[in-house]
Amino acid sequence: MTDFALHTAPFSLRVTNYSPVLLDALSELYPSSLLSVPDKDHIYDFCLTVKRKWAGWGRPFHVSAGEQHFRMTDAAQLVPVFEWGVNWCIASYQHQYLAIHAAVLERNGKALIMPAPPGSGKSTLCAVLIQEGWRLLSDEMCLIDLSNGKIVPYVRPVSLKNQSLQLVQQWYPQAQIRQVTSGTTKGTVGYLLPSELSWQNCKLAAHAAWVVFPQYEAGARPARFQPVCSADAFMHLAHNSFNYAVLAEQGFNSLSRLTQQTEAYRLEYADIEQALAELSQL
Amino acid sequence: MDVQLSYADWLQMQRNQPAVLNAVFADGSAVVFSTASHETHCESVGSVANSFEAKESDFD
Repeated sequence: MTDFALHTAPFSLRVTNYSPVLLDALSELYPSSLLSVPDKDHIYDFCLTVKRKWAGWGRPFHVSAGEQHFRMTDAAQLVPVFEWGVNWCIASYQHQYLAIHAAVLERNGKALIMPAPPGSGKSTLCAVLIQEGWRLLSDEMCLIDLSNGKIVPYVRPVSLKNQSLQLVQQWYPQAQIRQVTSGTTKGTVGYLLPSELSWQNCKLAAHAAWVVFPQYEAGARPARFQPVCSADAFMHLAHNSFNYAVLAEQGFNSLSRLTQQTEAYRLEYADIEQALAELSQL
Repeated sequence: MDVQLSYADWLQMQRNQPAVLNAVFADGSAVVFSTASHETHCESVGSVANSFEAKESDFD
């Protein structure tokens, strides 16, 4: 058993781990300073258990948080299932921040929020912007501080899927993609390492300036970048939030402030260079 | 929630709470939140073209 702790600010995670390979795999994705032996006196935000279940020979590892089942998996897919398990913990159990399913990047002190459902090209666009020098705050979770409205970083490797893996590597040969796993429920999944800039500033909150709803649409037509009215932006942000309903008035007030301080756009694109050109005008 | 509140004080606070919260944005659009049902809806559409209506299903 190799238990470990993962300190990806603002959350700490303790993992009860029965896999002989998981910790080594995560060492490829996270800086060594973020992985440690668990401290028995530390109170962790979340505790995950990765344990063998001998009753399930096909998928022998069980990922859970306390008594809450997350998923069974075979050893070959343990890394993506672990990463999804961490996302599940945050999305389900943290309510100190308003959490929106979105990528967040920062440039010149201003944060760009890109909320989007799966398949919209959010992570691909996020990966490209990192390679273009934007600082990653999160690929998955926009965390809004309820007290001051700032975006709190939650830096972790960027999950890329299927064609995006080859495309990002082709566009940016220097991009570091690790732990590519095929045959998952989402197809082939791999992880792009955040830039040094992102890791170094992983506790530096940012002021939100823009909300862009991206939508990848195959085809040769030119990219469309259109303003969105604030009320619609609000409703779509709420719709993409994990805990807006839980936070009730606090969620409404926080999202109102965010909407008031940002410009909102919809970006439809087929060509990544055109999308980049539009975003560079922000 | 203030756990020090007595039930009577809490009840009074609930009665004094506004039924709805409004947020009006710079473009004239607005959203309303019901403190009773916790439902949120668009109150009015702003002056900026709404490119979402035809794409609503993208976010379902």
